[in-house]
Amino acid sequence: MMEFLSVLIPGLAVGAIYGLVALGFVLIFKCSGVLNIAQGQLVLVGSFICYTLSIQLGIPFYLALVLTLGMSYLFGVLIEVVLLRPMVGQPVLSVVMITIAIFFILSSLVMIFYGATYYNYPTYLPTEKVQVAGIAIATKYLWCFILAAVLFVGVFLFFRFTNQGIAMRSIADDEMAAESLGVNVRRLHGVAWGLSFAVSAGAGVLLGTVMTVYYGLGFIGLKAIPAVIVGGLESLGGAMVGGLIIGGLEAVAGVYLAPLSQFLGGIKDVFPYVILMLVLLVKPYGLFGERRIERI
Amino acid sequence: MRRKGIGKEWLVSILAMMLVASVALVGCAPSEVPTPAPPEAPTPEFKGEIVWGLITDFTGPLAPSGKDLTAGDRDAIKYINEELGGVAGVKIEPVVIDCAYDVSREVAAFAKLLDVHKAMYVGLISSSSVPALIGKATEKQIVLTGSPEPAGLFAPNSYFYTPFPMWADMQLGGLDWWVENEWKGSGSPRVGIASIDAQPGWSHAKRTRDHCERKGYTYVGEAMHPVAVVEQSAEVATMKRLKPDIILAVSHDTGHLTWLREWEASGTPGVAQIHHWCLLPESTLKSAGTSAEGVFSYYPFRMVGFDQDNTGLRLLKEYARERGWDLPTPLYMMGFTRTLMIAEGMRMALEKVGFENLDGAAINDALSQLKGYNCLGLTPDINLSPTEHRGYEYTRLVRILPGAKYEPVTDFIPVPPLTPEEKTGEYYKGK
Amino acid sequence: MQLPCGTFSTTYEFDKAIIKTRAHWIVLALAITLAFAFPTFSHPYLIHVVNFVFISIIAALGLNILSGCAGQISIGHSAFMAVGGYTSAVITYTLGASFWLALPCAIVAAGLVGLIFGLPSLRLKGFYLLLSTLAAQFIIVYIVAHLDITGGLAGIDVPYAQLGNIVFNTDKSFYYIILVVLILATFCARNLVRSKVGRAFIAVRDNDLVAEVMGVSLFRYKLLAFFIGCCYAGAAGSLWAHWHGYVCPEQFSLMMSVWLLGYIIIGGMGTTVGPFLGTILVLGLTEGLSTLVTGLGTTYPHLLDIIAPLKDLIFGIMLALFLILEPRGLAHRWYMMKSWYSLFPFSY
Repeated sequence: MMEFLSVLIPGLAVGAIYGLVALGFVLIFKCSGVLNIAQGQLVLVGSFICYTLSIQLGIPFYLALVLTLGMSYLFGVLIEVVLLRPMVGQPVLSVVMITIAIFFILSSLVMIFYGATYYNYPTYLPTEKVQVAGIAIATKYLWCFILAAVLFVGVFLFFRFTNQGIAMRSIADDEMAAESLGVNVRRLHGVAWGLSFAVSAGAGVLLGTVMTVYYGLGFIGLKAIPAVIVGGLESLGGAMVGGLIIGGLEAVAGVYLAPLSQFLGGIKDVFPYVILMLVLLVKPYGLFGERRIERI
Repeated sequence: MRRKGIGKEWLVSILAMMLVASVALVGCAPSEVPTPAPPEAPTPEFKGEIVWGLITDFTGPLAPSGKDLTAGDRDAIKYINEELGGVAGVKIEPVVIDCAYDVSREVAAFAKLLDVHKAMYVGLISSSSVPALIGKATEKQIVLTGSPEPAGLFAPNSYFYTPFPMWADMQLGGLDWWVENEWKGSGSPRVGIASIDAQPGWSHAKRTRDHCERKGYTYVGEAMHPVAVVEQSAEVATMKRLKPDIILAVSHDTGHLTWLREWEASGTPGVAQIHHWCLLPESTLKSAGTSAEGVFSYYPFRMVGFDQDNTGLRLLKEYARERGWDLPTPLYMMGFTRTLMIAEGMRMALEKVGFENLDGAAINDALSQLKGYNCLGLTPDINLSPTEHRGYEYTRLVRILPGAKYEPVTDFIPVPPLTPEEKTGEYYKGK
Repeated sequence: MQLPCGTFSTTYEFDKAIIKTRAHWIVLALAITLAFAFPTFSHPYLIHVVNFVFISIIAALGLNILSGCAGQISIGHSAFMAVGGYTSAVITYTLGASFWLALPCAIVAAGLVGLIFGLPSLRLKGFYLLLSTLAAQFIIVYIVAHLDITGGLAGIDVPYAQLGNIVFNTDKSFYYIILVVLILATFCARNLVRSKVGRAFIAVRDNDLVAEVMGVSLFRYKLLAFFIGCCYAGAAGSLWAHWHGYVCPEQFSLMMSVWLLGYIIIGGMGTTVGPFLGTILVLGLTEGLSTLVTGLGTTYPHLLDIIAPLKDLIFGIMLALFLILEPRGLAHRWYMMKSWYSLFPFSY
């Protein structure tokens, strides 16, 4: 049992990071209907912004973290204005292709400016372990939960209580109706990209803490996709739940399934996709996704 | 469907400019290839030029390794061209192609190096490119080097060579040394494998299993992690259950990093570890921090600052200073030594058949006769033969110290010899 | 379709024909002759590039039937190529059969595996389906990488195709096999779209509820679309394996799948000419940039660290600009050019 928990908790912590990336994914999808292939690259760029601020410019870490979120918000808006806005009204798959272009642009920018080396954040967390229910857990994992929760609650409150958040929910519901009622849809698409980038940057900082900051962090975008599907493409809460489910199951599969046979050696990698298929067979719109009723 | 918000003319003009610029540059590019780069280079001294192809990664997941490897290749070529006046008076012209760890691009790059650049030799980087290209290289008679993969080393009539032995052998040599000198326990030592779920990992596990059986060690099993890795708590838990005394780890740099950190966090002291050499670059070690201290790795070359000075080491010191390094990384050394080895073979071929008749088969014949060459004193003697394409069968263990440094703990120690069965490509297939 | 001035469809046969005028026939015959004569005058490396382009086009044609015509968007198409490639490799290497038997087997095997992963399409739509095919990509590649019969991660050395005494072991000789398959594939794709099946696909794509109400069996046609689309992928995979003489799991990457979808989006979805234009544009651009970087790297070796990632940056920017300017794909521009040409100089 102790062993099970000591495996599950880091798994869930990584799941919280998946959840944040998935949240960023859902934010964009919900508000503009775009499937963002470059989500992982937003995480990558976010982690490097924080690295530049905290190490290269020497800003205290927590301040750098806040600044990172702010700057990524602006970058997100910039990307939307420059690359996505001209595509309004075009076939949705062409817009998806644009995100592939973003994928190339962002990852090559990181490569050009930072090269292929490993970087570390300053140690901003106590290094001793915390005792939770009798087992020692590295502090970085608890920090994952806390920051993920803070960001998620922030996004949730934004959607629940601010005017812009409510407007964004309205365009997710019916864009044309919202626009005719005077909602500035274009601006809100920018806000959605900004928020998504900020949330992803938060995930990037966490990922950089758990792993290390390097040019390859973008692969996390792929790992978050099963989380998005399991939770449902339109549900913010679903993204977090999906992330936790995937992260936890992945870790458990790694310990308890992989040693069973050599065929299952790297099962951890595909296990989320097996879960994804199973969930889709039972619930075609994910656990919390919207089921749109179609009429002829 | 008039779109609002973008100046279409502006975009069209930008696009047109970029297209024109790129077309112009593409058009110029091939004509640049044969031109010797520095105008002051004393071209008349050379009898001619040989093109060497280097397939490498400057982008993609192997980028850190690719940069070091190619830097080593380049420096050795620079040394040969500038200090030695080329290979028997013939200049080496390197053509570097970035393939971003994509097998089909590597195959295309190989075709391009042969057909467009008329390369006489191709240096590879990724392990998967070796089995993909070995057949074509043998057909077209082009000498290859790359990471020491059994698919290349033990193929029939292989054109593939490496100076040093296979990864698994170098770690197993280290393992034998560790059992004799460092192991304090009684009974048979328990050996575990922590590796990447990819070909090097599985062939390593198979080789280790058989080696342990022969030596009377207990092989406890393996913990395999997927290629894309965030953390390895699950793999660490699997390994802890197996209770090993020593762990052999094979992965990419990120895999080693996450493994070490997770292993440290799991609080299991007293287990020795031997890691693959891609842990050794400074930025990787810095990132691993305290978790890497005391861990073994291998560096099967003479080392700047530890060994008695010789030509090779003096040269390396100079090149390392130019690059701002204390110690060249193992991958740089791999590039440096493999280039010297191939150049030596090419020199022998040139002496035998002359520049006009030089072809891949001649280089291959000469290389397979190469005996007693030690890469300017950087390696033990390289002895190649038509049936043995690994230059030497030694390794050298290093221990990682605090502050991202490492020091040698052994001189060159022999790696375990291979049985005839283990000298076939088939042995390493499957699990 | 625009017809030249004075040409009218006076009979049903004429109306149904794809190639209507003598000029069309001449152009087509010339194009095919040129394609067959191509290796005799081309640079050997260019044949290598063209082989890869043609194989990609075959796979993209299949994806175009599946995604462009039937609307079932898939981002796991290279995994079905893997099924084809591995089936072919196992049949020729392990069982020792000839390539000519292995190719049809590979086609059928990929189609059948496609059926399995097509099953969710009965309940899933849009991006949910797209992401479920992503699962196919990961699961299939994982399986071929871990089975012993497929050689595991080490891959399989595939024997070259042979016909009598001719061994197709060079780019030049294999080019002809690829070309013949490509012509057949294009012929089938072009005709499928205007058959009953093709019209049913389009009905399913445009509105599957309406299609079902009108009597198009969704079950049948969605699965058929997956079957046909994956058959094309199987053919492409098998050709790829025998051309390279080697298969390994890493060949069939997710990026390949993404690009196959990219080719048809950039080329224009649902048109037969789209996959051709898109593949040629993207692969041509990649090849051009790679040549450029190699050339610059030879001249300025110390800048290569920067130049190599710069290639991806330029590629990304050009892709984005292209999509912003031509969001409907190249085929759209192609048709506009054709109509401009046939109406010239009186374009009203």
